[in-house]
Amino acid sequence: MVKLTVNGKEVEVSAGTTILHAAAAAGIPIPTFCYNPRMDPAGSCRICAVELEDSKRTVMGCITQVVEGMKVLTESPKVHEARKTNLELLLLHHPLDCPICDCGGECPLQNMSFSYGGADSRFESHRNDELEDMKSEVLVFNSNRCILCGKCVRVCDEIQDVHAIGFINRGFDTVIGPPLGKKLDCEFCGDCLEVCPTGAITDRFVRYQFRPWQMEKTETTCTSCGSGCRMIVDTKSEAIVRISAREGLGPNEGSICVVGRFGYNAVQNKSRLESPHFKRAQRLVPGNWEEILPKVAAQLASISSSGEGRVAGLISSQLPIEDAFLFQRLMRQTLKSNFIDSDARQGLMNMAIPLVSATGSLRPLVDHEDIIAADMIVVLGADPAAESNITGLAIKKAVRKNKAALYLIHGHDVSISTRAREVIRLLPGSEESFLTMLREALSSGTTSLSPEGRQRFQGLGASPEAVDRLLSDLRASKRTVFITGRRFHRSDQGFGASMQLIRLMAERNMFASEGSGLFVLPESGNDLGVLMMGATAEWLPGLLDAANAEQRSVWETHWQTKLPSGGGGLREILAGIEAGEIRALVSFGVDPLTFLPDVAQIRKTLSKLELLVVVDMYQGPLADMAHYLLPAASPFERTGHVVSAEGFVQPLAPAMAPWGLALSESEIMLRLARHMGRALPFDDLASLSSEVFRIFPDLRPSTRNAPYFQGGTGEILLSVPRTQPPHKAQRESVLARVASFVKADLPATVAPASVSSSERPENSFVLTLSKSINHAGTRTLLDSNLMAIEGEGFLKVPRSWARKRKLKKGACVLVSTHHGRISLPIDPVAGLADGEVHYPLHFADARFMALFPRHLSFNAQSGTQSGQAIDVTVEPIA
Amino acid sequence: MATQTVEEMAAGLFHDVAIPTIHIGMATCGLAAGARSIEELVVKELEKRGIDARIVPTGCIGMCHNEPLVDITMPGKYRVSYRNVKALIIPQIFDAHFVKGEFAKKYAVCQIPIAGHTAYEGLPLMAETGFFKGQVKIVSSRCGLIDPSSIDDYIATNGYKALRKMLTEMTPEIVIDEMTKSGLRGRGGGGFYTGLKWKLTRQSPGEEKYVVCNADEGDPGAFMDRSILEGDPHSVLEGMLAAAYAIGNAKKGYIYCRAEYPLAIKRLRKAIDDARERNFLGDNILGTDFSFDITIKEGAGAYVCGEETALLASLMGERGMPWPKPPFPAQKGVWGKPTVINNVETLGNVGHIILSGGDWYASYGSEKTKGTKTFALTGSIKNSGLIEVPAGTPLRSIVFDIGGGMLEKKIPFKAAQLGGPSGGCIPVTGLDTPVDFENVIAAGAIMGSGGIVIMDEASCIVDTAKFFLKFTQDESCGECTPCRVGSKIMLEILTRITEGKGQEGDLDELIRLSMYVKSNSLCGLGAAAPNPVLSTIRYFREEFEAHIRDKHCPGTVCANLIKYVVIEEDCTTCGLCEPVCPTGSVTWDKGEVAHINLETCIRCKACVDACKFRAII
Repeated sequence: MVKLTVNGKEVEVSAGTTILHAAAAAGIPIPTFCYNPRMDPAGSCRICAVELEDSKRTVMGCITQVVEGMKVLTESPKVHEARKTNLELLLLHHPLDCPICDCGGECPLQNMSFSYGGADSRFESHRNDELEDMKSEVLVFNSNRCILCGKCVRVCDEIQDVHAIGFINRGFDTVIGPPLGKKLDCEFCGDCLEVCPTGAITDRFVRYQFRPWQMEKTETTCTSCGSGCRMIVDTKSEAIVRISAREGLGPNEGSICVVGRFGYNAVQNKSRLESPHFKRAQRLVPGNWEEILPKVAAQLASISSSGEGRVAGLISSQLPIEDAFLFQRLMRQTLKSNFIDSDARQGLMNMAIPLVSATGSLRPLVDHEDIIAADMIVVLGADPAAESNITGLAIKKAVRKNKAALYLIHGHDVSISTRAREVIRLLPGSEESFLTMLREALSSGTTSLSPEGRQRFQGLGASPEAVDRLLSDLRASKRTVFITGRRFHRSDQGFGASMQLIRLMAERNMFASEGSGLFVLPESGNDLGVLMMGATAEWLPGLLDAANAEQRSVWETHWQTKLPSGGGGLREILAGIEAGEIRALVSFGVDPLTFLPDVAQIRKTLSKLELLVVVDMYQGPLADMAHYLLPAASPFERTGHVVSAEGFVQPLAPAMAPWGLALSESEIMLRLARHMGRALPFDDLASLSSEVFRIFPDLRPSTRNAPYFQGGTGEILLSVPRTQPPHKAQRESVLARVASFVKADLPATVAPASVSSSERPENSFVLTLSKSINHAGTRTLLDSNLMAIEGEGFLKVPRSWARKRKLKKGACVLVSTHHGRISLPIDPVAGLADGEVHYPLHFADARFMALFPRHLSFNAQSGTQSGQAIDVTVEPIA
Repeated sequence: MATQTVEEMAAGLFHDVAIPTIHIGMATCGLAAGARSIEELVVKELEKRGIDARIVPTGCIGMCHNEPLVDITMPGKYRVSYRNVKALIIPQIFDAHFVKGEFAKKYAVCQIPIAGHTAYEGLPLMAETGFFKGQVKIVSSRCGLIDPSSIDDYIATNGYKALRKMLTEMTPEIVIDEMTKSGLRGRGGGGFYTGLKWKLTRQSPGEEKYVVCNADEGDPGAFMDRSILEGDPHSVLEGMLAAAYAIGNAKKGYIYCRAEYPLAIKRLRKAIDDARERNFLGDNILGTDFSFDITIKEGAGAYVCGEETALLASLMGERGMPWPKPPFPAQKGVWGKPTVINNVETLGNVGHIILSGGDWYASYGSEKTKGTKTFALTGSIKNSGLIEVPAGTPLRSIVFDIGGGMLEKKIPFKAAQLGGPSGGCIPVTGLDTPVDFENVIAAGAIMGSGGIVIMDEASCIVDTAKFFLKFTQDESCGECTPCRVGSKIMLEILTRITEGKGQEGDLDELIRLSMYVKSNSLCGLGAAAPNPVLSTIRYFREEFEAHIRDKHCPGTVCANLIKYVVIEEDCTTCGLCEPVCPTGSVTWDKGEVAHINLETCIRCKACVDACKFRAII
C-alpha cells in the first residue's frame, strides 16, 4: 500500500494505482477527456494535469502512478493555468458551432471549458472548416470538432476489437475515420459515438432532431438477445430518439450492439396495432377493450370448461418473467391446459432439457467474467458477436488480454474467427457425432488421433490437425468455458449433442473446477426466464417436472387447485388442433407462420380452431387468421424483469406511453381472468412481481455495475460500488446432480449423417440459416434504422465458387430443392465449410421457407422442430 | 589495454596485399559528391594503363567536405588520401604513384599509417592534420578505413573478437558490469546509462526478451548513425549480440532503420547475411548455447518513431505513436516482452568496451559523460563532416580547430545549434562550453544525438527557430494536445514575426506557451519541441525584438524585414548587385556606391544574396 495526500487529504491505495484513481478514492474528481476506465490510459488529452507539491511539476493523473508520500494538488493555480491553456488550444480551431451541434448541451468539451476555460483567447488562428465525412449511413465524422482524444479509436480496438477506424495523417492534420477514406464498414455498435466527448461523431439517423435537454431518460434492459444490456432510452415528446449505454452500467458496462442502439424504430413503426380488433365478416375490425375482452373471456371460459387441454397457449420469450409466470398459471389453473409453449422451444429446448436434467438449473456456472478469465474457450455452433454481442466482447477480451485459446466449431467464419486458434468447420447436423468422437478421443488417453479417428473427423468436414490441437489444449486447460449457440441448439442433432457435451464436461471434471463451465447463448431476451417460470409443457415454475405428480403437487398445494397433466409443446399443439381436441389457441407474440415451413398446411390446421386469440404488437400472418387481435405494449412501454444469459434478473422500465390502446400481456391476462370470473390474486404487475420474487428469492433483481467514471460531463468520480447478488448457479448443488446424470446411459453414438464434401456434385450445397448481427428475429425488418444498415438478405456463397462463375456481390442465383425454388442475391465470402451456403434467418420469408419439405419433423426428445439444414442446388441465372 | 591504433588496424587490412589498393569513399556523402563516376573513371584509367589494382569501397572517414575521397596504397607504403577528386586530376594522381613512384602533393590531404609500411615525406600523417588532431576515434574508428561490406575486413580489425571473448570468458553479469564501469550513456540523446538499462531489462521477468536497435536517425543535420551503419555495420550487430547476451532470454533482435537510408539498409542486410554464414548470428553461436538473430524493420518516414515507444509501436505494425511510460520498454516492449532499445552509436561502442574494458573507455570524457561522442558538423563551417571527440571537448575547439573555422572567413560566428529540433543555440559567449550532457543542457541546448549546425552572422536566429519548430510541428504525431496544437500556434507566431507582423507581447506568449508545451507533452518530441525557441530567445532576445519592434532582420534573411538600403561604408562598389536585380531597381556605376530604387524594388532579396560584403541591409 502507498500513502499519499491529494489536496491535503490523506489516502492509501495499492501500489501501481494512478493518481486519477487515488484521487477518486479520496472522493476528489480530476477532469478527463481521453480516459475511460475500460481501456488502457493513453495520456493524450493532457487535461488531467495535476501538480506535485514538492517538485512543482505537473504530471498527468491518468498515467502517473502514485509513490509513497506524494503530495498531489488537483486544483492549484498552476493546474488551472495548464488546463486553461489546454482548452484554449483545443478551442482555437474548433468551429464553435455549438448551437447546431448535436452534442451541445451534453458536451464534455463545453462543460470543461465552462469549468476551466478562459473567457477569451490570446492567440489567433483559423477555424477548422473541413467537409464532414458523410459516406456512412449511420455515423457522420466531423473532423472540425474533433479534439483527437482517441477514445473512439481505442474503444473500437480495445473493447470491440473491430479496428474500423483509426488516426489518419499526422500532427495537426490528424483526423479520425475509416482507413483510406473508405466508407465506414463495421459492426455499427456505435461505441465510438458513445465515448466521443464532442460532436465529432454524430448519429446520422437523428442528426439535428433534438437538444439534449428536451429528452427524458429512462434506464431499462434490452430484450433483443441474452446479453441483458442495460441502456438509457432518450425520448422526446414520447418518441424514442436515441438509445445509449452508460459507462459502468449493467453487464454491458457501456457497450451496446447495433440492434440495441439503433433498433428502436420498430416499436414506433406506423404498422403497430393501436386498438383491439375482432373478426366480423372475415375482416378484423377495431373495437375497444370493454367490448372485446368480455367476449374473449366468455369463449375461453366456455371452451376450457369442456375439459382439460382444450385451450393451447404460446408466449414470446422476450416477455418478462412476470408475464411468463402469469401465463402458465392462467393456462394451467384457469384454462386447465398444459398445452403451453414458447419461442424458447426452438431456440433452447435441445439444450435446456439435458442441462436441467444434468444440473437442475438453467442459470450458468460461469459468467462473462469467467469467460474473460478462461484459458480456453470452445464456441460450438454460435456466432457470439451476432447472437449475444456482449458475450462476443468477453470472448475477444479473453483472447486479447489473457491469450485464451479460442476454438470455433461452426459451419462458417464469423467475426471472432480471426481470433480463434483453430476454426473447425463442421457440416450442419454432425455436432453429436463430433462431440461423441471428441469425448472418446479425450478418454482414450492417447495424445494424437489414430488414423481411423482422423478419417472419421474428416468425414464430418473437420480438420484432424485442428482437432488434435483442440484435444491437447483441452487436456492442458485449467479453466475451460464451452459456449453453445443457435446453430448448435437448433441442429437436428442438437439434443444428442447437448447430452454428449455435458457428459464430456462431467468426465473432464469441469463442473467441479472453478471458472470452468457451460455458457448457453439464448436467442431472446428472456428465454431462460420464460422456461424457469414454467411457461413450457415440461416444467412447472422452478423447473419442477410437470409430468411428475409429486412435483406437481407442490404447486397444486400452493395454488389450491388441481393442475392438468399431459399436454405438450408446439408439436402436440399442432397435432391437437389437427385432431380437433384443442379448440382454442391464445398466442402472446408467437407466430408459427413466420418460422415453420409449409405455411399452407399449418394455415389449414389453424383454421380448424374455434377461437384464435392473438396478442401482438403488429399484425402478422397469424393475426390475419385471428378471431381476436389484441394490441400488446412493447418492452419500451412496460415494466417487468428479464433473465439474461449470465443469469442476471434485470428490470424493464417504461420509456414511452403504450402505443394507442396497447396493454402489457400480463395486464391482458389479468383482465381476461377477471372477466372469466376466475380472477388471479394479483391487482397489477407490481403485485405480480413481488409474488414472483417472494416465491423465488433467488430471482431477486441482480446486475453487474462496474465502478465507473462519469465521463459524460467531464467530472469524474469513482462511486458506484460493484453490487452483484448471486446470478450464477450454485456449483455444489449442481455437482451432486451431475454425478448421477453421468451414470445414466447416453444414447448410442449416431453415425455421421452428412456426406463428405468431395462426393458432393457441383452446385450442390447444404443451406442453413444464420443470424445477422444487424437484426434480431423478424421484427427488426420493420425498423428503418436497421434496414438502412442491412436491408436485404444475401445468400453467402463460397468466394471460390462465385469467382469461377464470375459472380459478384448482388448477382442473383437460383436456389432450388425438391420442394421449391427461389432467386436470391449472393454475397461471396471466404471461410465457409465445404459445401455450405447460408442465409440470414430474418429475411427467410414464406417464399424462402417454401424450399423446405412440406411435412414437419420434430426432435423426439425435445420437441424442437428439426430439418434446419437442407440440400439445395445453387445455379447462376443466365 | 587499449583498442587498436589506426596503424595496427590498417595493417590487418594489408598484410598479404602485393598489388596497389585504391580506396574510394562510397558512403552517402561520397556518392552524393560523385564517387560512383570517380570509381568508373578509376577503373577505366587502370585498364588504360594496364595496372592490376584492388578497388575497395569504404564508408565515411568523416571528411565529408573533402568528398569524393580516393586513397591510394602502394605495396609497402602508407595510404595517401586525395580530396575533392575530379575526373581531370585522376591521371595526375596516377602519374605520381604509378609512373613517378611518389604522390601528388597538390591534391593529397594526409597519409594514413600502416604498421610495417613506410611513410612518404612531406605529407602530414592523418592524426597530425587539424581535422583529426583533436579527435579520438573509437566507434567510428573503422569508418572509412575498412570495406564495410566485407566481414573479413571487420574481422581483420578485431571484429567479433569481443563476441568470442564475451561468450567464452564473461558471464552476462560481468558484461553488464563492464558496461556500467564504462559509464556509457545512451548516444541517441537520452543519456540513460546503458549498463543500468541492460541490468533493468535483465532483472525484468520474462521467458522471452528482445533487443532493438534504434536506427531511426531523423534530426535535420544529423548523420552519425548513418555513417556508422554505412561504414561499420558489423559493430552494431556485435553490440546487439552483447546486449542480447547480457539481458538473457533474448533470441531475436530488430534494427529499426529509417527507409531513407537505403545504403545503410543494404550494408546491414549484407552484414547480417555474412554474420549468419559465419555463425556469428543464428543458432548456437560459436558452438555455445547462445542463439540470436536479427531482422531489419524499415521505418515509414515518421520522425516521432525515433522516440522509443513510438518506434516499438511502429515495429509491431501499429501507428507510430508513443505510449505513456511506465511501462518502460525494459518492462514491456516488443510484443509486450522486456526489451532493451539502444541507439546505433551506443551499440557501436559496445564491442570496443568489452574488448578493452570499461575502465579504458571511462578514461576518456568528462566527469559525468564518459567516452567519446560523434558529431555531425554542418552549416557555415569549413570542415563539415563527421567527427568523434572525447566528451567534454570545448565547443570552441570543435568549431575552430577541428572544424577549421567559419566557411566565409569574413562573416563571424553567431551561434551553434546543438541537438537538432530538440536542442538549442549556443552563442559566441558559450563557445567555451564543454560539450557533454550536463554542460550543454546548462547552456540551454542539448547534446542530443550529435548534430551541430554552425551559423554565422548572415543567418537569422528567428528564422532558425522557425525552421526547427516547423520540423517538429510537421513531425508531431498528433496524439497529445500541447504538441499538436501548441507547436502549431508557436509556429504561427514565429511566422508572423518573420513576416513583419510581430506584436508587442508575442515573445511573452511564446515563452508562456513554450513552457506549457514543454511540461505537458506526452513524449520527448513535444517536451523538447520548444527548446529551439526558448534558447534563441534566451540568447538573442534583441534580434527577436528587432524583428518585432524595428521590423528589421539583422541577418538579412527575412525578405519582408530587409530595408534594401546600401550602407556606404560597407559597399566596395563591386557592382555584383546590379546585374542580378530582375526589375532593374539597382543602379551602379563603376567605382560608385550602388543605389536601390525602393519604388520599383520587389524585395526579392537577389541583391542581398549577391552582396558578399553584407552592405545591403
